[in-house]
This record gives sequence, structure tokens and C-alpha cells, in this order.
Amino acid sequence: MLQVHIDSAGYQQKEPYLQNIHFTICPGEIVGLIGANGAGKSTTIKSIIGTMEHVHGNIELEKDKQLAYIPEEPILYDRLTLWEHLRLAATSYEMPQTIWEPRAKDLLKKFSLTGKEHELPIHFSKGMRQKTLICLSFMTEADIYIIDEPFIGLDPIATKHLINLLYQEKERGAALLMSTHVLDSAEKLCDRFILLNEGNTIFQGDLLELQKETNQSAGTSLLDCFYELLEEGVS
Amino acid sequence: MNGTARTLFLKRLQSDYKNLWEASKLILDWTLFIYILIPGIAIGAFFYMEWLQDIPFLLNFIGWYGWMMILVISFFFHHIKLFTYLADQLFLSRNIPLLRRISQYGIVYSTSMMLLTATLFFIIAAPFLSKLFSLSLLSLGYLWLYYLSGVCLLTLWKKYAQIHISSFIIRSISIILILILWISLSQGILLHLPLWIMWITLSVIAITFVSDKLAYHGTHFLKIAEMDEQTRGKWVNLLFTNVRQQGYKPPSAKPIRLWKESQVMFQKQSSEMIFTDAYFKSFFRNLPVLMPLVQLTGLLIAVLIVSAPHWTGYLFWLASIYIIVDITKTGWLGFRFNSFIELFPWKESMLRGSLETSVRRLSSPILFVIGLLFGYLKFGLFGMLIFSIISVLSGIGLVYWHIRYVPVNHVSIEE
Repeated sequence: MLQVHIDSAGYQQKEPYLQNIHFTICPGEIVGLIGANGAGKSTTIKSIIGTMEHVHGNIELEKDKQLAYIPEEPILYDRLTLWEHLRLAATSYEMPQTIWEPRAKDLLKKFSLTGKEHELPIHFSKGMRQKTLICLSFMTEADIYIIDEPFIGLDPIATKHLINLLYQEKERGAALLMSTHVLDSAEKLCDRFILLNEGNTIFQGDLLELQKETNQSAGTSLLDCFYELLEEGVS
Repeated sequence: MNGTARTLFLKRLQSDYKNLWEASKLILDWTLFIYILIPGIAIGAFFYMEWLQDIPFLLNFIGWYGWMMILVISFFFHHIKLFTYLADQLFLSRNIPLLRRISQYGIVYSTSMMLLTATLFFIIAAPFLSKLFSLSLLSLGYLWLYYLSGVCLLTLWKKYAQIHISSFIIRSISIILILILWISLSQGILLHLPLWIMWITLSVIAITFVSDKLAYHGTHFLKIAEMDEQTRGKWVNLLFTNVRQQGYKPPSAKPIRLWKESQVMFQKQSSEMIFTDAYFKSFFRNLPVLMPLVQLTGLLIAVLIVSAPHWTGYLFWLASIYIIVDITKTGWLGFRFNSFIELFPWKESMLRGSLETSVRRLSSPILFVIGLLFGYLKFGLFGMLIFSIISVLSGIGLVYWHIRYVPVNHVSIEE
């Protein structure tokens, strides 16, 4: 559904930050983009969604497929109410009111935002703003979701609802690319992992393959395998 | 410590100018230079020379105290920045000597800039004063220093009062008293040299005293920092950007007043109109953006009134049409390229439709008022009818001629 071929990408023309990042995401698959701080996760996401200026390569999105992006830092418009944000997002995807309204109400209820519809989200807490963005994106029922650090700032109930939502979307056939530091959640959720280090892909595959690659026994956690892989790289 | 404070102050000054430059670049495009600034300066210079030859009746009619009132209005153009940041609360607010030194540099810098700009303003007004009231060069010199003392005294006191006097009434009364005193003594100081010497001496003492009290001394940190942040955000707000770290002030936590049930303000609820609805709401709910447009319209109307008797009035009228249309366009672009809006894909045709609708609907009422007024001043009731229609039609014409070619999307979505 989404094919990513980044030969190089960076913030300066002559200083590539990412090199040779190639992967594909299929429908009904959750892929985890894992890496230490500064490994290139956000740069990869920015390259995919088209906000990086210097990208050499090719991002191929299947025709007529819709992409939704949830950034790490909740971005909302200061002077529009939560409901106006929802309506605007639905407008972008040309969704009829009869479709988006029930979906929006259901999501708001799940994330405990009912009753806040006509308030300005600028005064919400960071967690509430994050929930607002989650509602905005999942309301659109996109074909591909790109989610940057989805669990940061969420309370345990909201985290549980988000995980259920991710599974629900996966079952619907959506493809999800998720960048995260929360490796235990990633381990449970993701079908495959793309491990980045210093702007390069150091591993692609599922947990079993990763355990094999790092000579770990079955049952070793993603965190330990990831640590081992990085240690190997250092030594 | 002095070296650190100086370096920090210079860095903050540099960052202020950088932010101002970045913000200015958003609207100072080549079209504005070609159509507004260069002709504006040329027409302004021409007007000035023409008025000097034949002073308009109104400027003569207002008399000495009317002119002093104009000078007094200019007192409010200036402000003192103490160059404190809200982030200093974390690291510097307890380092009183360092922040005090930075604020002292800030006072010296702001005062110097104030003296420079006030002098420029006085130079513009001086030939009129000299001609209308037969003032000699020496008298103008006395008046210039008197004017500068008034500007400094009021601006410094205003800042001091904002920080240290919590009562709005006492603050306002003290400012009004200074202004009344300055206006009342203005004629006397030119006739009695000892009075002038006494005023200047007392002003210098007062300015020194207030400056000393104004520099940071460990209290009211947040108030000072917030005021500085607001001053930094002035330009940014005016130029329709949304940059919180540059002093942007978020909306208040009070419930919103306009369209409080989030209802769409238009009957037609197409994608185009919903996008336009969101832009209008963000515009009307944002006073720091709305007010400059109201102020600018007021200023344009004032310029039209003054220039209407001359042929150059037509040029101002045409320029006003362009300015209003261009500003409403800039506002829309500011909204469209906001980070939130950029999260979603938008069709080029929808965006273009929204831009054109927004510009037409926002600019038409303003252009109508400008046309009514200008038409009345030129040709009475008949002029009102003709010019209001021509103004609105010209605005619509500009939408087709100019706005239609403004890029609305980084990458157009395939339709």
C-alpha cells in the first residue's frame, strides 16, 4: 500500500541525515519504526508525509488511498473549537456529515472528550490535545496511518482505547506505521519492526527474526534485542 | 558580569531583529514593494511638499493646541523593552544583578530608539509648525527638546506604572495629568526661557529617577517578562503568523462568544464554505489580528479624507482598494499554511474557491465604506453611489486579476 524508497534525506541539501531507508507497508499491517533519539524516525516520517525539503528517493502511495498523520506534538488551531476542528478534518476528506458525525461522537466518548466539543482545544492539557488529534485522524478512517509517538501524554485508559483502535483499524485493512519509544507496547502491537540507527536501517523484520539476528533466545524482549543490536553495532 | 549581560542583551536584540525580519518577509513581497511602498513613498513625498506650499485648511484650523495634541498622540508610538524572557524565570529571575543590567541596557537602547524616531517625527512636523506659528529655528530647537522630554517622560512613566501601579484609574489619571501639563506648558516654555530650563531640568531628574526604578530589582518578574513578550509579539500578530515563542498570546480561557455552538456561519455548507467558515471564525475571534485591520481601515479613511480635495486622492483611493484586498489575502494564506491545516490534504480547486470567496466577502464591506466616503467627499451623494460600486467592483476585479494566480497549495492534489 505504501512503498518507501529514501536514498537520502536531510535538513541541508549536502548533509543527508537519512540514507537508504527502504520498506513497504501492506494493508492490515502495523509496522513499528524504532530507534534511539536522533536515529531518524521523525525525519523518515517527515519524508513520507512530504514536509522534508531535501529528499532523494520515491514515496509511492497506492492510488486513491488516503493517509492520516498524527504528529508527536499536538498541533491544533487556536481559535477553532474541537467540533470545528472535526468538521474541518472531515471536509478535507470530503466526508458527508451523516458519516463523520456519529464516528466523531463515538470517538469523543471513548476518549472522554464529550462535553468539550464547543471549547477551544488550546486550553486542553497535552494529553487531551493528543486525544483530540487521535479522534481527528481516526474519524477519517484513512487507509494508512502514520503515527509519531502515539502513547506519549496519554492516560492508561486512553492508551487502552488507542490500542483497541489500532487493532480495529488493522482488522479493517488499514496500514499503520508507528514510531515509538514505548517498546513493550510496540512489541505487542506491531507485526514488523524497522530499526533505525544514525539515519540507517539496521534491521527489518518481525520479533522472531530479530531474536535470531541478535542470537537471542525465543522470548527475549524487543528492548533487549534492540539493545543487543545497538551494542553489536557499537562494538 | 557586565560582559555576560551585554552579550546576552546583544543576542536578544539580534534575535528580536531576526524575528522582525522573518515576520516582515511574510508580507513584504515584491508586489507590495512595486504597488504600494515605492508609489506610497513617492506620493507621500509629493503630498508633503504640496501641503507645505499650500497648508490644508484643517491643519491651520486646529491651532497651536491642536498641533500639540497631534504631537501628544505620537507619544504613544513608543515603548520600553526590558529584554526579559518568560524562560528567564527558570534560570535568571533570581540572578537579580544580571537581569537588572540587561534591563538597564534595554532602557538605554529603547530610549535611544525612541529619541531617534521622535526626532524624525518632529522633523516632519517642524516645517508646518514653523510656518503656521512663525517659529524661529531657536524656538523650534526649544520645542524639539521639550517634545523629546515629554516623549521620554510619558513612555518611561507609562511602563513604570504598568508594572508597579495595579489600579487602572490611578495609572490613567497620572498619564492624563502628564499630558495635560505638557500641553498646557507648551506655549509658555517658548515665551519664558527660565520655565523651559526648569521643565527640562525637572524632566531629566524625573526620567533618571523613573529609569532607575524601572530597571529590574527582583520583583514583578512575570509581569515584566509578559509585557516584553507581548511587545515582541506585536508585529508577529499583525502579520498573521502563529509563532508562540515570539510572544504570541493565546486566546483567553473564557468561553468563546461568536458561534459558541460551533455552527457553520453560511447556509451553503460545501467544502469551500466550511473552509471559509473556519477562516472567518479564526479571524473574527482573534482580536490581535482583527484590530490592526480595523486600525488600518481607520487610517486609510483618514488619509482619504485629507487627500480627497487633491487629484492624488484618487491614487490613495486605488491604493486603499489594493491594500485591503491584499491584506485579506495574506490573512487567508496565514490560516491556510497553519500547521494544523497542513496536516490534511486539500484540493486545489476548493482552496482557490475559498480564497476568492474569503477575499470577496471580507474586503467588499470595507471597500464599500471607503467608496461611500471617498465618493461623498468628491462628488456628494451621486459620488457615494458611483464610488461605492466602483470600489467593490475593483476589489472583485483584483480577485480575478491578482488573487486567482496566488499559489494555494505546496503540491496540488490530483483531482
